[in-house]
Amino acid sequence: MSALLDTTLYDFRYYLVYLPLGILGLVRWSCWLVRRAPAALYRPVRNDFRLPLSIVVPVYQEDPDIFAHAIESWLANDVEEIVLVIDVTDHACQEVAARYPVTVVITDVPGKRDALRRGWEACSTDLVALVDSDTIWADDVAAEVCKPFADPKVGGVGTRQNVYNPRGFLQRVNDMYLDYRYFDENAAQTAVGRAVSCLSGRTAVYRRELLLEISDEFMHETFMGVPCMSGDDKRLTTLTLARGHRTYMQRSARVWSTFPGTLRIFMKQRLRWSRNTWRSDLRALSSRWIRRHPFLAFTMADKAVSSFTLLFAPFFMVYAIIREDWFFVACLAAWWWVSRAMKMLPHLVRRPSSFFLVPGFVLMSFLMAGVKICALLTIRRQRWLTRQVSVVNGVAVRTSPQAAGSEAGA
Amino acid sequence: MKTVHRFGAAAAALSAVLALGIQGAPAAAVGLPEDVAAWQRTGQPDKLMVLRPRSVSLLSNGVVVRRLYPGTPSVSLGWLAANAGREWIGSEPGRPSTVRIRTAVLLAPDTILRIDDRTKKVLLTAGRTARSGTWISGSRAALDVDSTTLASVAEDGSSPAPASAPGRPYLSMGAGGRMDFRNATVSGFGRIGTSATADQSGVTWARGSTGSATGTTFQDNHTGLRLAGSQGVSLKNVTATGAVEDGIVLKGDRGTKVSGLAAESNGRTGIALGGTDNRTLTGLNTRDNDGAGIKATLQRGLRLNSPTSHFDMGGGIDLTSCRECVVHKATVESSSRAAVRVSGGDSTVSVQDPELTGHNGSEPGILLAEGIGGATVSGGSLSGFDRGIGITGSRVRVERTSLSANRTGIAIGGGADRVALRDVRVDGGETGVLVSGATRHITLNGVRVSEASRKGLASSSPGLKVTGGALSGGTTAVDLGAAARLENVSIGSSHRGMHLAEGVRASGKSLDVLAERQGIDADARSLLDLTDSRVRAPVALDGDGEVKRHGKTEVSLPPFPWLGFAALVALALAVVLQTLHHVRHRGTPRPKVAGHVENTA
Repeated sequence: MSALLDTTLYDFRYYLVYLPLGILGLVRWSCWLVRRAPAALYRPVRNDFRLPLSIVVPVYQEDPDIFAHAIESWLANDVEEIVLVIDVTDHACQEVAARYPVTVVITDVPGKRDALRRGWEACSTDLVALVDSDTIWADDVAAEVCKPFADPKVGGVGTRQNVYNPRGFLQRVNDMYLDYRYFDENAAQTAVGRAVSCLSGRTAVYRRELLLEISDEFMHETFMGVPCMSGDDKRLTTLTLARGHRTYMQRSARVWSTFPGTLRIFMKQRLRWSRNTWRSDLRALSSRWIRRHPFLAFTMADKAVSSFTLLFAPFFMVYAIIREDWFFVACLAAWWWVSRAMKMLPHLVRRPSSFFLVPGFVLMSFLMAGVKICALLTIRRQRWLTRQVSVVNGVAVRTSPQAAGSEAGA
Repeated sequence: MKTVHRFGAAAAALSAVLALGIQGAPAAAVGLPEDVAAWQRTGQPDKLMVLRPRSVSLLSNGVVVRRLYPGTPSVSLGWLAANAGREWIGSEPGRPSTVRIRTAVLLAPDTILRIDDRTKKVLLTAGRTARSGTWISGSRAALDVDSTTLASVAEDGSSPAPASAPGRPYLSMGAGGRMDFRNATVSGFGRIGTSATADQSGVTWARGSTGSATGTTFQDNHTGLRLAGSQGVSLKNVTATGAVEDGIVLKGDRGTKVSGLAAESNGRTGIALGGTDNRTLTGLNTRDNDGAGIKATLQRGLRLNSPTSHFDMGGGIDLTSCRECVVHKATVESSSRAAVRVSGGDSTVSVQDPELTGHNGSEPGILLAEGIGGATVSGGSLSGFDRGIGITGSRVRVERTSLSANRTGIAIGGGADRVALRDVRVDGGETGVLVSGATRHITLNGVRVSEASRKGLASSSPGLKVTGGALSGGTTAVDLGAAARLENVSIGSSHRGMHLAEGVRASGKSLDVLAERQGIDADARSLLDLTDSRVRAPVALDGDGEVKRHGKTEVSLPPFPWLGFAALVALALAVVLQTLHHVRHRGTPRPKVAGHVENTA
């Protein structure tokens, strides 16, 4: 038996010497191709359908210049109404808003969810675009996002996003992640089943009547007994899907948003997003409605598994370095670079210089896999991490001494 | 009455003088005949204190100048310090627990000298000459040292005295005597020079003596401690460190009980063994000695259980002319010489389950030198050496041993004859097994070589036999420079599976050759008879030599690398899908957006 095993291993090693990636790589690539093939066939909806559209923007501690640019871009879209729900403590943004023909709602309740709810309740149009205060629109976003709503089953529509004027490695990496998402994951989910897992909160358009219907569930979301503060966009998307509506990514509608340039903020943001994704996906995978969307279920499961399988690669790399198996090390490193570049082709065609960032992107992917696992282990924790708010005793509160003082004053 | 007594003493002195005059002694000696004889016998020290069962004689230059009467054969050093006078033995001023000995001390039969914790520190003066030095010696007597530090001190007060001082103190116990140390330290003892005898080398249990050392450190002595023909000495948790020569010498001793014996940073061998047959020593530990860690010479039936050696400059364990000796579970870290060396005519040694680690490519893990009677290496692992096992001796067997990351796993050279390797595993390094031309009757059975960067097996030994196992190497798995016979061997993971040098005749049966480039490369006039074998490589048979195929021998291309092909297909699919996407969206215009937005492609 031992001799047979030895002979088998001996033959098997022959393959491994020649191949930079083994069975695991093949499986992962197969999963990617299952997503990529329909994504390549994706097309945005083209028609002349148009519905009245309002924009709702929760505003809290936004950079005034970016905020002003964003308002101007929304106004350029000729929407019916722009409702800015501004935190009572944010005087700078209130001053900016006062310069434009927009509706301002001042709120003294901390937290994004309540601001969103106040916003869509203040609107009167059929469609409501929920937009982040740092998100700049192209001139035709309002027209483009209306088109998928020609299908009455569509409840929500997302846009294609990119980093606003990316500078430095982290912002470039974020831009790569975004292109990967909109040319791969979201495009595939749209093409197969019209069920996008998350309409990003930077710009997501919903039917207002649907928002009013899910308002209570949205406001009182809990996970394992803990009220949820972040993850509003995933929650709205899954509530939409759960009610039998479709969600669609309209890639011809383009928006740009700011992204952190420091590693600390970047990591915190990723940790928060990862927790939201775990909560939402685990809940979705255990729900009945997901059976109507098998491809969406597949992509969710694939994403969850990839957090763990991705770490096999660096494990083998470290093992090879310890063994001083430099041939294998070189093959694996080259494979990482080439294979990841192939998966990033939509981005590389757009920005060829990013090819030289691919090794860094790969290392960042391993780091993000670790962050995802860390997020899973701390899934019950509710912190915004990049803002001075958190959930205390089931209520969103400000956590900075200055803000807390303001709230007390308010 | 006083007159009579004076007369008696004068008469005794006169008779002693006469006696010495007959012997031609250079110095005048006055006293009891046995005291003077002792003074003569012990090298005529300037000062000698003779302990006898009922008295203590103090001799200065051979003349008894005083007598003390302790009233008991058991005398403590404290009593002597209180009664002998500071010029002989006395407490240091202001330090009552420190006693300085300025005289040689001879323990006559049936006496006991006790040095206990009331004298925390005992300084023995090192004279400028051998005669002016100090020592404690005896036979059929006892020296008992408990919880005390014994140290040499030079005349200028420095302690320990320099190793070159001719009169450095020493301790020696002779036949019938007993010497015991408990929780003691002996520092700076032992004499150097041609006139110094072995029992003056530091602390010596001489022939016929016995005793023990427990929890005791012997440091900076000439030789840390020496058992020379002793009987039943017990050594427990003993350390010898900083000796000028050997740390611990066990030579001709009988019935020695050892537990926790350590030798560190000594000038020569850490622990030197010799002259005693059929003994077992457990728990010998050496470190950083300038010579070998453990050196055994001319031993029969020696068994070393779990010895350890770390970074001894002269190698770990050196067995010279040892017959029927066993080294069991040795742990050696070596950075220079062989971790285990077996040499000397008719040596027959078994090395069992060694754990040997080399650093900086140190010379071989195990060296079985030419001229030995035979050796067996079984089990264990060796790594990090220039050669894992170097064999130039004959009648050698290596079984079930793992070798990794050695430059050459096993090198068989010199005039080695009848060497058998069985179930040996060699990983990494440059060459797995290297067999040179002058060797004979070499057999490999079940040997597995993997990850060697150059050659798995390189042999110039006529008549080499290889049965079973698997051989691989970066460039060539099996390189034959002389006739060989291979059977049931897997050969692969190499650029070239098998190479036959010019004119070599070899045979192979049931071989499985799998190579990246050439399966079998036979040089001109070489011949390989291949029976019931399989050869898979892009170029299965190459060279100007001849490969005769018999039975069900199969020659083919290597198996298709399906996973590699799949990887290439996947990459191609990625490009195709991107192209498809690009074609479908080729008319997409750039978005209209404010001029401050740059990332619009």
